[in-house]
Amino acid sequence: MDVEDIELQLFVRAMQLRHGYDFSEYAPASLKRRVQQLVRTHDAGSISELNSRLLHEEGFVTRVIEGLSVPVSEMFRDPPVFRTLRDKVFPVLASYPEINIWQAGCAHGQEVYSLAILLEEAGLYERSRIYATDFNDAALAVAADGIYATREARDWSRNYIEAGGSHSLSDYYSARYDFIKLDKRLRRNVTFFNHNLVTDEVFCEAHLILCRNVLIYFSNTLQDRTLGLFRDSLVRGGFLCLGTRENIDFSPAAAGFADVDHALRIYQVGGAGARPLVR
Amino acid sequence: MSSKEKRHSWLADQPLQRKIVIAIGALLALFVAASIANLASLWRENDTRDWSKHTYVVLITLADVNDNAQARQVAARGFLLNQSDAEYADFETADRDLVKSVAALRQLTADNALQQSRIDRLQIMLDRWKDEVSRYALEPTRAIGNAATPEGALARESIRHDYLEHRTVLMTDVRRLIDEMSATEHTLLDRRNGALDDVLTATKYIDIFSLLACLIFGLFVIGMTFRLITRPIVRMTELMSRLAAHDHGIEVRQLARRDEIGEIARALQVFKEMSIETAGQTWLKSTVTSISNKLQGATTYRQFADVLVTELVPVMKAGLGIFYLFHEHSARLERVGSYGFREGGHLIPEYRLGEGLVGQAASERRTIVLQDLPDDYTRIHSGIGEGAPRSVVVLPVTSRESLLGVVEIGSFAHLTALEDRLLEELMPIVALSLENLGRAISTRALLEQTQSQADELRASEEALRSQQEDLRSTNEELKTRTTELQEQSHRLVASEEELRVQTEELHASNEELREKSVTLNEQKDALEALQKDTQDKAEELARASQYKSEFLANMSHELRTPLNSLLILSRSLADNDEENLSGEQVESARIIHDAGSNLLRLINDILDLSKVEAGKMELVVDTFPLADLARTVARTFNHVAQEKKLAFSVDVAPGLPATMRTDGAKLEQVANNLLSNAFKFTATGTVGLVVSRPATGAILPAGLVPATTIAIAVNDTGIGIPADKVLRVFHAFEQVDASTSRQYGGTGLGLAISRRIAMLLGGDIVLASEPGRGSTFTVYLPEEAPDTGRSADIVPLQQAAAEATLALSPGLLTDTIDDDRASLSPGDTVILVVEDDPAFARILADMVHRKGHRVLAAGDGESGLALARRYRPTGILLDVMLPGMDGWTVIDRLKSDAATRHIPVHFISATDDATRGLELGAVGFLTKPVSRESIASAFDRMLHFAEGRTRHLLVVDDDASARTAVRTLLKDDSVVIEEAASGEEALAKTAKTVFDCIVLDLGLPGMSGIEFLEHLSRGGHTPPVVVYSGRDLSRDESMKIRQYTDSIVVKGARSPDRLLDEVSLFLHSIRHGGGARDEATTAAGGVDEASLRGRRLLLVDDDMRNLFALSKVLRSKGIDVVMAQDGQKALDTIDTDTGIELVLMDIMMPVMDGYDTMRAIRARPAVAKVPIIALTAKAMRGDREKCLEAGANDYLSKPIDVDRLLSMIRVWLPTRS
Repeated sequence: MDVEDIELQLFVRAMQLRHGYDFSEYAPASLKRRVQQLVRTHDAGSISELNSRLLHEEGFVTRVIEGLSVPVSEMFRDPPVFRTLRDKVFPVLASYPEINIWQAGCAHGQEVYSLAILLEEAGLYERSRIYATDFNDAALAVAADGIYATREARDWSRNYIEAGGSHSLSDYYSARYDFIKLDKRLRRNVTFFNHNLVTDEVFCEAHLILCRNVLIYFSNTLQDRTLGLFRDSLVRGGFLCLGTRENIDFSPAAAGFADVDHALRIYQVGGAGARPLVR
Repeated sequence: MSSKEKRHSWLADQPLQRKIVIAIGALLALFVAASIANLASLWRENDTRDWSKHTYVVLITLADVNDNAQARQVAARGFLLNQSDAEYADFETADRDLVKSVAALRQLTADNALQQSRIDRLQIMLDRWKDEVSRYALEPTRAIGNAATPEGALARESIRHDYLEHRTVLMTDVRRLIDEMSATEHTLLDRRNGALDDVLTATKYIDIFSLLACLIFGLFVIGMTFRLITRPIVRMTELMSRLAAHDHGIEVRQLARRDEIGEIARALQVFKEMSIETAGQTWLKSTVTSISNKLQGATTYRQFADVLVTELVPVMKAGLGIFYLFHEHSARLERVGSYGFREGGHLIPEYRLGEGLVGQAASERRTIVLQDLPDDYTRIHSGIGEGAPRSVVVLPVTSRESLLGVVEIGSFAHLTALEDRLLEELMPIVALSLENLGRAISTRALLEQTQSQADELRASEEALRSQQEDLRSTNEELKTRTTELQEQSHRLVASEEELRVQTEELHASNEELREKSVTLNEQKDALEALQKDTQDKAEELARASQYKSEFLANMSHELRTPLNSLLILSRSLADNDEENLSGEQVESARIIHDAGSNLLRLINDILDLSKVEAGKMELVVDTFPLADLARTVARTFNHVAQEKKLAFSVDVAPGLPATMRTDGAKLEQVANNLLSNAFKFTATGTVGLVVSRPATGAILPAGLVPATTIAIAVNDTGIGIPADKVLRVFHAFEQVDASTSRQYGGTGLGLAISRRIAMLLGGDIVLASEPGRGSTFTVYLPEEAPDTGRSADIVPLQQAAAEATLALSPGLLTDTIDDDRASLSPGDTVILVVEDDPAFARILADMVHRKGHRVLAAGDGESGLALARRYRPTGILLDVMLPGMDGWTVIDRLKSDAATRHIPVHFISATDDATRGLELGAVGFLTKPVSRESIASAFDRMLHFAEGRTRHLLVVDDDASARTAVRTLLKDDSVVIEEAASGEEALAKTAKTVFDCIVLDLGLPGMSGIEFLEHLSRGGHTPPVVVYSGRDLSRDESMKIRQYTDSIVVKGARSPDRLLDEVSLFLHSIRHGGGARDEATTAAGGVDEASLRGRRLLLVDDDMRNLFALSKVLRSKGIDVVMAQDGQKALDTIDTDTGIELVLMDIMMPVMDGYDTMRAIRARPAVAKVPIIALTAKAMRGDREKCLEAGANDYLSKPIDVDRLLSMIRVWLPTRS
């Protein structure tokens, strides 16, 4: 084990002991990459230096968290996924009197708003509630603002059309200077929460959970735990949508899920009920 | 022209004003003269006319005189004739008139001497005539009086004679004179009239003359005005208009005139020049601008050159233009664009500096102009001809003294000044544009380069991105493998080293050994004999141990079976249902029951141990996630740790595989055992479980390799174990010392069993301990448990046994109890009891009978199967441990036979593999010992699923067509669908029939859907309800409904599918509408407690599932639970409901989260002191503090542990006043 690995372990330990964040179950390779990136960002000579600041410097942890989370997304990313949600999943959701959607790892909120737009267009938004969670408070604040650089947003209109949007994406935002601001009304049924998939538990009864491109950063154990959370949160017949590079095939949690669209990673909870929330 | 100007000079030079005065003054003078002449003649005419009039008056007066003279004569004659006085009066009168008229005449003719003299004569004559008449005629006549007398006549005669004698004047003479006078006057009149005529004629001539004079002069003035003023002004105006229309060809005249026209002309001339200048400027500017604009549009040099020459040459009205671009690196001028140029001839496409005029101009940076060129210099071509240009201009294009290019222009005309200036102004701009273009081209080249690089980058990035993920995962895998390999190699190197040392040592000792071997050989013989002895004994011991284990296994089972009956019966005695036992007897029965229970636990342990030792322990090896282990133990022991105030941690080290192949249940059993031991023997400090790789240097059980071994270490800071006892703790029935057993309780079998299981799983348990400091038990297990070798041995054996006993007739088998097979009639509900313990079988049979059903009994699997096939019972109660064919096989056979597949089977067994039972299709699984209640519920359950395979479904909807639709959707042979159009009707139907499921529309006439649900639930047994709503529901409505069911389907495109799913779930699933969970929670909760009964508690959670699950548990404790779905509702409730004694608050809620809600509650003075327990899914450090800061009194993590919640509630509930 080289020095850096030791430092990394110390880093993980420091995060856990000092701040309560558990990164021990993150996929080691990607975690290491991001910590190295942090070292560069903060001009620290080594991970150890980072650790020292992490232990002693007040407020440094939030910056580390920002660096460790990966808030990269776009609206209607992978349009076919959203199209399938619209065509196959929403009609089923429509049969529930109220629709709770958990967007786990919402990052900068692009997918939250994408979802809100699709729900709005499907006429379901009024009875929907979107719980958008992330463990990075800074990302949540960005998400709650709903302001994005125009430069990022250029491809989104195309995505939106490909995702089956029935209007124009520009109906939902106003552009000024180099930014677009999404319509405030889209946020009316969204609640942003800090929630850490590593440590925190189920908090709602969800009909649809989106957790895209989050599990790839987790170890198998943590993936299993997370999928377990989702399994517990979902109602009978609820839906789970993962990133297109993620799958549950080899997880023990797979047993409870049936494919809605295997390639797009959309699953449905089978008939049997969820595990009890109360022991 | 100038002569003409001269001619006009005097008058024309006069200012306009004077010209006007002259013209109008002359006209006025003329007019005055004419008027005077006219007036004079008028005056003369009047004078003449007066005189004529006077003459007429004289004539009239003359006539008057005549008349009066006549009248006097007449009157005189008359008197003379008749001597009437009247006549005489007349005479008098006429005479007076005559005198008057003569006087008038005299006055009138005062100016005429001739007439005056005549009047004098006339006067005399008249006076004489009168005198003579009066004297000689009249007077005498009057004197005679009457003339009628002859004297009178004679008198008259004499008078007449007398008169005639005396008469001297005759009237005729008078008349003649008057006539003479009249003639004179007429002559005068004639003369005067002639004079008047003359005057009138003269006046006419004067008028005619003056009119003509005025006319002629007026025309002259007009002519002059026109000529001198109007025409020049009109001409100027016209010129101005033309100038305004940019006609610069106008010629301005009369510049020399000194009047206003001259001034205007001079001004106009100035304007003209200015305009020409401006137009030139404008043309210049616009040309420059247009060319420079077009130049800016150029993106290549060639385009630039083309634009330049094609724009510039026509503007210059030239016929030939060439642009040469200067290449700095080669110092050459290259022709890149041309206009009107014909390739060939002596024109060369490239020049060096100084070469030709082009090169010359370039090197000097100076414009060269050649004029009057020879004809053969070069030609300008067109389709209709060609000609030699007259002039050539060669212009260098330079910017800050650096040469950029050269322009050459050939033209037929000489350059005008303007064109000169154009070139002058244009060239810097051309230079600038060219420079810019150069820069733009190089920038573009750079940009293109960058772009292509960026494209390349993007493409490779894309590729990279897709590869990255793959790489990442492979990388990780590789890394772990590398680490493993490295570790292995490290270890190899280490052991190699060790080996070498050992070899050395061995060599040395070899010698020694050889020496000793002789001695040893001798001893060996003796030893061999001893060993043989020992081996025999050991074998005997092993055999004995095996026998013992087998005996124990059988014995335990045998013990368990009667204990089962003993427990049920003693319990039923203790319950004293028939109330015929004394208190003492009931107490004794309870003691028997408790003792029996203790005994049972001991037996269970022994059974486990013996099963292991007898090799009867079955392993179910499957993929087992290590995280599951961690999660399970954490959940199980967290509260134990909290109760004992011990720190407890579960760690899974990184780098481990996520799963291992082993028997998860067994592994959990081991871990639970070790942990409960650790907790049992630890009073203070910590207990921990660490899953990792074995520590380096750890001594591993045989057959295990560190790289594929999982070490599960349970450490504590408890009393520890003295070194000499370390080995003994694993022995069955042994604790550290006898006193321990009394102090800590327990059978002492746990560790022994755990170790046996560990060994069975291919590993072992190692203990490290220090008395007083604590112990560490480490379970070493291979990642892959050795295949179920041992259990595999067993299964076929059992099956063989089963096959073997199949041949035996049922009658021959164990003593079966009496049953009702002889007295069965169709329609009876028949329960088949397959149980080898006659005592328990009898208990079961009794219970069946008591329920009013018929019973069949079988003592073994084969006969049970045969009875099932023959009698098709309504339900089967099945034991697992049976002589011959075991229960598993029986149910398997039943389920694979179409004839018996539908019969519900309920297990009642001493084994506890409920999962396997349910997987095989049983409707339930009871583990012995069982209570009568649980047996009763097992009956119900079984019968529920039996009932002739018919399910009863009730569809409640007021719309008949909707009912039909649902009926069609859910139609199934095994489902009897009933319909109700109203809540009342539905209630009536539920009273008669037990329905398996109700499909309910909410909008009903009369009793509403929700009221119906309320009524239904009040009735006790509530069948599962699927609410099928035609409209959206508000959150409040769905919350109300959720009290009764969690199946709500809103009608829509996909809702029929879901309705079908939900209904089928209830109709065919083992789960009884969520009842199983409810039973579990109720069972866990037990009965209500006095301290909690009637206490009012507010539960706030947006997660309805949680809300209802918790409220159900709390209500089972007698707590009065008020629910609120969000922060605002919670505040509303707490404001209005003053009886709330405690609040359970979820944190993550939309709109108003738990923190805000708590703060708001704390801000209300009335409720500021109400205890609040926060319930949160968040488990991060700091979350607890956040809750407490926001006003919570305590904090509990989800998933909620009911026991902990209850104890917290007990702590925080204010003591009852």
